[in-house]
Amino acid sequence: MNAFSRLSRWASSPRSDVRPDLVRRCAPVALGALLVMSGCRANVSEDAPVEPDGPAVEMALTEAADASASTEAGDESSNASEDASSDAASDESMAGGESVTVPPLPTMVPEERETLPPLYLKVDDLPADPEWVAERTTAQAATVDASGVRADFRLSDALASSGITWRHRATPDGAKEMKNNHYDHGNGVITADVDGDGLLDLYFVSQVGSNALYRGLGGGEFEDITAQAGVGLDEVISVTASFADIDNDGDPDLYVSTIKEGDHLFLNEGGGTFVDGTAAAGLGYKGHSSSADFFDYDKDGNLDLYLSVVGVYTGRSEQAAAADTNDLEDPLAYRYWVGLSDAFAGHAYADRLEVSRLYHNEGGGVFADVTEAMGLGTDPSWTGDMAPIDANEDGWIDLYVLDMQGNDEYYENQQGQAFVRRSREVFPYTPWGAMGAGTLDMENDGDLDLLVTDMHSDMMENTTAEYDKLKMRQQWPESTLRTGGISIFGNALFEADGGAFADVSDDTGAEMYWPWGLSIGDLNADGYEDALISAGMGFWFRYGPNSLLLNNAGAGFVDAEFAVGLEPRPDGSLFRPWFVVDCDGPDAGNRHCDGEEGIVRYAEAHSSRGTLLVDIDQDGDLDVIMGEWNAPPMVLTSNLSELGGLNYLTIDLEGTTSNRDGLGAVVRVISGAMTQTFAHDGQSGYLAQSDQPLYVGLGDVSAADRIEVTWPTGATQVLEGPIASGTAVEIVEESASE
Amino acid sequence: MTARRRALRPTALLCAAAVAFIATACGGSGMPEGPVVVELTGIDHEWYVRYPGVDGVLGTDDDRYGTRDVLLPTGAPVTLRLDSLDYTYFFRVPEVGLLEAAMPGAGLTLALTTTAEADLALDMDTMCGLPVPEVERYVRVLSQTEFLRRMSELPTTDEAMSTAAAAVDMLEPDTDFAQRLSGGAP
Repeated sequence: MNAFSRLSRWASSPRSDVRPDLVRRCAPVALGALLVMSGCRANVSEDAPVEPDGPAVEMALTEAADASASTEAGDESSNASEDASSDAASDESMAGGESVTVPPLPTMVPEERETLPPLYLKVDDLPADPEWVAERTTAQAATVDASGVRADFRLSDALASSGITWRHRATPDGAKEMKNNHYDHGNGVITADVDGDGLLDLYFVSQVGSNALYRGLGGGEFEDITAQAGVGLDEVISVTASFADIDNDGDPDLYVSTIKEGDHLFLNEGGGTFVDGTAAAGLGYKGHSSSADFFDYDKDGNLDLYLSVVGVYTGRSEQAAAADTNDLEDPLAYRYWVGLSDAFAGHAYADRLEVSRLYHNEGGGVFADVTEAMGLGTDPSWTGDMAPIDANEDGWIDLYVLDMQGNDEYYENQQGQAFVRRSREVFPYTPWGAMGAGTLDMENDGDLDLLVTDMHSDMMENTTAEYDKLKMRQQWPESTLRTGGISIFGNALFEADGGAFADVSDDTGAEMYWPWGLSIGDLNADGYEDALISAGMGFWFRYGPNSLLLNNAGAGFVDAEFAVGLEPRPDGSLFRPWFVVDCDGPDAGNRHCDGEEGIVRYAEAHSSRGTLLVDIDQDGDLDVIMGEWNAPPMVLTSNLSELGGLNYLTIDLEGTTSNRDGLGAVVRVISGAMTQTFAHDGQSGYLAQSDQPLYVGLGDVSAADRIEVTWPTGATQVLEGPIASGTAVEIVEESASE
Repeated sequence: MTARRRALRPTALLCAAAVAFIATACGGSGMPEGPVVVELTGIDHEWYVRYPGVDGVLGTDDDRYGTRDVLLPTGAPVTLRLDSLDYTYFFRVPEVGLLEAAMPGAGLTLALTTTAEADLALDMDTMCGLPVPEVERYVRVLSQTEFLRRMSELPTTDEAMSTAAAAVDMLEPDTDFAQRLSGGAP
């Protein structure tokens, strides 16, 4: 096998991480660089006619179709490519003066994979469940049993008894228009005790129709108080939301991001009613907003805001649409900004970049945009979310900025005075298409690790379910990737070690298919935090199950979604009605009417987006709220508390010198030989931030010996035990004089 | 016609004028020096292909038009210009590891040299990992004689492409929305 035939196979076959020797030879343009190598030749079809003087058919590749997009003189349309290419080429030296040498990626062996065609499903002609669902259910029961991880609890459908009747609705871009853009990323769900009654409430976000605030009544029941709270926002297309006490008055305020019509800050007046304080706060960004993360970057006691912004993925025109995509009689009652068909390549066009914003909380409910002043004005990311982490353990919150169309970025906090980009220095490789992130102390070793989910890499190859635990091996050309192939094409679990991070996702079983965001929490209360990850695309893609990764005492994750009843869905189905078209009427020109006539009803695979781990029935174990795509949410209650042996605490922090929510505090719970470490960052699921107590599973230990809280100020406060299981611990920050 | 489409057409014409194709088609003396430039445009999940005619120059009245398959001559350097009027498409020839994107207005090109006849399966997929379904496409590498013959049979009008393009409602990215929504100057 000559050199090029080997390289060609590598390039054209599905593969995972890039071989380091080939990276050096062929980077910075993963496939495009292959084309510039002189003498590169590919053997192609063995069936092709043989010529006397050479292989049957050769295609000698002599010129680059490289990251510079090979624009030719006079081509006026090349500017976007050149600009973006320049961004990629300077990956090691741009903003912040970062200049680092990127070490090689781990070696992975290429392999062929079976890929799938699109699923064109009609409601009246749904296929039988694929065999892998039953096979995985059986296999997972065995692996869970063999692992020894506690998975004897069950999650059961409690939607009907919950009183929640709201459902998510999507724009037609994510339905019959079938456009590839960010509308299909769906929406978030969050929790907080908005009325101060000691029970957690829920806020659901929809693209179409009203968002919904449900007041917790106890015992897993809720009532809809959206109207009286005044937070429905049914006139705009919402994205997600966050709860945080931005004015330190003791109740959670609400931030809702929207598409282009302006974000909203609702101030909690107590008792579960809100007033819109957007204008007075100086907020209301009008763009393609996503998550709103509140944290205190300068330790002044006020929560600042990092607003993740995706990028321009809509056009100039609005379109009327019906809320119910399955009802032809539903009136065209709302309008939405029509999305771009090529939005997932939007990062290649410089004029579509929207820079995420950092707002400083000036106090008194007023914010100031300090993005440029703090060194974040050149961030190139298409960002859905940000993880506030103290990566260098200096006590100042740093920014891990997720890029859903490129490598993630990391900005180090310079003691509240500026942020400096140290992306590749600290995280040499990151997921290419990151969607969500959460911190956990995987091994209870005191270091806070970072789990990052990557959905967009899964768009590169539509593989069968047997490859769900493997990374993508087929990648896009460098003109689209723009990272020089120096990326992880799947989830990452960055194991922390004194400020250094190494990806151990494959060693720990953290990979999965089509993930969105994640919720970190100890579902089995064994003292090791687990990860609940929403998943699945819907559309023409196969079913992708939600994932429950149970932490096996730090040794790795054990897949348990089928074992505990998270999967399959409560009614056992894999598909649901998606939309209807009238091929003899107004939809005659729609692509879904090609070869069809009359009324045609299409179906899609179930898929989820938002996640919450919250004890909705106050029985001491964590339950699951799963925000669905174009469907009612899933409400699943755990029976762990009924099985005996449940030991846990909840810890609610109240800052005094620090921000009232205590966000940014690090909490250590010592129980017997175990020390658990938690970052109190409010991160609660896909694109979401909530205001809820920390949940601490104690495993076999019935009491905690000690709780240590390191507040954002740097002061450490100790609560000595024993603290009995079941205690709702409230810790108020002591002043320096106390 | 949207502003983007109006912009794309003259751009494509200007770009095409510089490259030679066939030195002397009538004389049958083979391919000229310099690359054969072929332009592919993805529209509504199909490739529309424009070839230089017998004058060898892309962008003249002699251009030829095809759909779906891509015809190439053997033994010639070839430059493929890739464009799209709606989605981002991938031009993928798995057998030889060719892969490039066609993004609206991005002006991406793919350069190669063909050395022997072959029919190579051509994948066309959008960015969501799904191939454009149920249609087989090929890059057909033909002898120079056959290539010229096939060129002579192709139409000199872009009727199919124009019809497809007319049906595309390509949106202008809304990059000044904040000012507009605020009532400020765009």
